[in-house]
Amino acid sequence: MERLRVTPVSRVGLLLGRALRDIVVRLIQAVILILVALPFGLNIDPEGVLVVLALVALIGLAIASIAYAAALWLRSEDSYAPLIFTATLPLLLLSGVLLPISLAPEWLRTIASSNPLAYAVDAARAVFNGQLDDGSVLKGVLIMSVLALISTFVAARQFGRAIA
Amino acid sequence: MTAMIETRGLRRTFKSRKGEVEAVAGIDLSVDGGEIFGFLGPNGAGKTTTLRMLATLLAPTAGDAVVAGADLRRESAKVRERIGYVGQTGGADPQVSGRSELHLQCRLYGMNARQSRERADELILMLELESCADRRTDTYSGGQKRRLDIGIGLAHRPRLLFLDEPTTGLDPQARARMWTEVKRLGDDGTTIFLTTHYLEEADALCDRLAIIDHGRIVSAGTPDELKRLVAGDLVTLSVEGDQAAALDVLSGEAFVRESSAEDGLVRLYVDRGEEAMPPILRLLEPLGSSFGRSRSRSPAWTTCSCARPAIRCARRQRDMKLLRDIWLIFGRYFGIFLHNPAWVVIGVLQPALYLLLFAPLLKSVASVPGFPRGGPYNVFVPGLLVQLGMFGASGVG
Repeated sequence: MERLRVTPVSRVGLLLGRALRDIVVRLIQAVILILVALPFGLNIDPEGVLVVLALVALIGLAIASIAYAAALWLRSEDSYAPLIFTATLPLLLLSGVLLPISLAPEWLRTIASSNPLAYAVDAARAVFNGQLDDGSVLKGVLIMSVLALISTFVAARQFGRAIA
Repeated sequence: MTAMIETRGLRRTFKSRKGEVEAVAGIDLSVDGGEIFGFLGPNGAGKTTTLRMLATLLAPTAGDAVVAGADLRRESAKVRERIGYVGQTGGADPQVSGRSELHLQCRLYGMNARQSRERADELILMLELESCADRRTDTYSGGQKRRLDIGIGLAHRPRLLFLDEPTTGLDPQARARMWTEVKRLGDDGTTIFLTTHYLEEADALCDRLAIIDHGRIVSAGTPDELKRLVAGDLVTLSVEGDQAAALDVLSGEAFVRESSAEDGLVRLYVDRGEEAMPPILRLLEPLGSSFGRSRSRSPAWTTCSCARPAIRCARRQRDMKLLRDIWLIFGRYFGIFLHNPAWVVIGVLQPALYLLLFAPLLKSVASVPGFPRGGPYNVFVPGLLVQLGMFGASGVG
């Protein structure tokens, strides 16, 4: 990557170009997953698919920006992977991905309510439930948009500051 | 004639756990257009750090420099447009072909697709990379990688080229070819700034060179001036001023076997002449010994004044460039991905398996509260999609 830094390519362009690649890949995978699940009885409207894909794109952008910023900040290959893993695992567990949070005890639910990804999951579930106009969909999309914006901004600044 | 590189008091300090390390402790140098300038010194002397600062890869902690007519600190983007850089370790992506790297490099500097293609062909011919140009760079030999790196550095025909230890790690044949290449570039009028720890290389290639040790320039001059002083293992110095003091300072050093002074000359018998020069000169510096002279010139700073319309136009140009850069970088990495479609499948495999294995299990369980519509898939798929968004399959996160 260093050789790219000597070129006039803009730092932000470098970050967003890579992030865009990650997002497109994830969207392709999301579509495949949905297509696989359809014959098994998955029930979803086309607008729902679009909303969900938008969610996946926003999550992807937020996570990719955070990941690249962390990679720059850490600088060493070894500490990067464990850090990312330990940081994302609780996020994942607390977001309601594996099991609905409604089944969890009160104190866990309070912690989960501060996890932005939990709102994304709620939004996704509402979409799949056919409740597109449900408040949680808007909330999820909004929160993820804000998260994506903040993390992209921070990462871009980090990229820009990393060199002269 | 304005110099191609002009520095004043360039410094770089690194913070480590043990405290601060001053890798570069005040460098003043001046390189003219069209010359091949060398930085000679042992490993750790600060050569690479200085070069990286001048190539805008590292910010100086103090000092100023003007590189290729642009101020290093304030106009680093302009500097990057005008310089080429060939680092010690190759920068080419291992998963793409050499031709593709050259093509991307050209496009990053603003050339369109056709120009980039033609320039890539030109470079491949010039650097004799026809046999490997369309193979992945991780299949290249050391010499081929180095030649490709030079091609990448030269893609946009820069006026100034930085070469960091161009022949370290090359076999004698590859090294000889590299020397020919560098000399040819110099003949074509490119200014070259190279670092090396090989005396013969500095001698063979450079019009002028500076010897650097412990972050300071100990002396500068032409290779001939240097050679005149190191004959075998006898080092002869002409010392202005107190020769006795010079002798005292030097004879106490471990690497000086014998020493004598007469007629304004100090003669030293040392273990290895080439290695002895930097420490000798450093020791004599405070005494004012003479060996060539470090050139110092007051730099000419250019001031820039922008009219309002120019700022607006520049801002729009910058936005267009940003979009173009995003597209180019995306294209590069997505291209790699397309060549490895297995990644797509692997990424989807895990959630798909989870889905196919567990969902039927849940079918038999009473319906999950709060999910009136659809079967268990409607419960799991949203969660899996969020998980996909988080982890994907590209190895990020």
